[in-house]
Amino acid sequence: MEVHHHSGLSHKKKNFREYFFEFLMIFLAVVLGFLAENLRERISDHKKEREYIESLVQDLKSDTALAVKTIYAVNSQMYGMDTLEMLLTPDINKNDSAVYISYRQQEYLHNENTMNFSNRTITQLFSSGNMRLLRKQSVSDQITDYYSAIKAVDAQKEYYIDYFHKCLEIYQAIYEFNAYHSRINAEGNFVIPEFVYGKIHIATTDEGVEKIQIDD
Amino acid sequence: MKELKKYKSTIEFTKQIIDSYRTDIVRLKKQAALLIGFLKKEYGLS
Repeated sequence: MEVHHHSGLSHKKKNFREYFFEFLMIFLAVVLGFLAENLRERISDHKKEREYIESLVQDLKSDTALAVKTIYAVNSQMYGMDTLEMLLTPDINKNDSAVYISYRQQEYLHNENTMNFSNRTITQLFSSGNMRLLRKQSVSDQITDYYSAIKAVDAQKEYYIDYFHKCLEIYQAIYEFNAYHSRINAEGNFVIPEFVYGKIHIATTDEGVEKIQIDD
Repeated sequence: MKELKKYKSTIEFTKQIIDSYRTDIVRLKKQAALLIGFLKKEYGLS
């Protein structure tokens, strides 16, 4: 391939100023590129930080709403358990109404009223090292405190479930569920409540109560 | 009688644990509300 050289172009030696100017241009290009990249990353990090915070606020709102429901359910459960505890006396079988109510009240021991916290955002923040996105230490500290509080509550929940199951293990020996369930319909209501009176008992002795045949 | 006593004492203990759990949730609910307010203020969220 033929190469045409321009006769007017000569390979003039560059002086120091030209070298310096070239160096300055390259240096500025690199620095500006670096600054632009840094700025882009910062803008992206700030955007991510805000997205995380917005998502966390949504999680916290869900937690708050669920906490209200759970507190209500736990209150109700505790009232039910109080009543049950009060009714369970050694001579309960002398009072048909008390026996009937205690069978109803034991249902408060059927459902665990625990809550699962929305930990989606908080887990993402902690597990993927995204806590670094939070620029303010006070924000990071408060989120960490909240996360620690969740873990403490979850530990208490384990005790709750454990003791709840202990109650369930014992109550089979206390109630006559075959007799009880034969008297309730699919919706869980007594078909004819008065039929229950005198037909079901609470085991108040180790020997157990006399089993009464249910006449249908 | 022993079973009934055991049942009652388990109920009593369970109640205490549930009560602690409830107290924890009440505290956490307040903490969550405070955190929401704090984050909204810090990030200018509506």
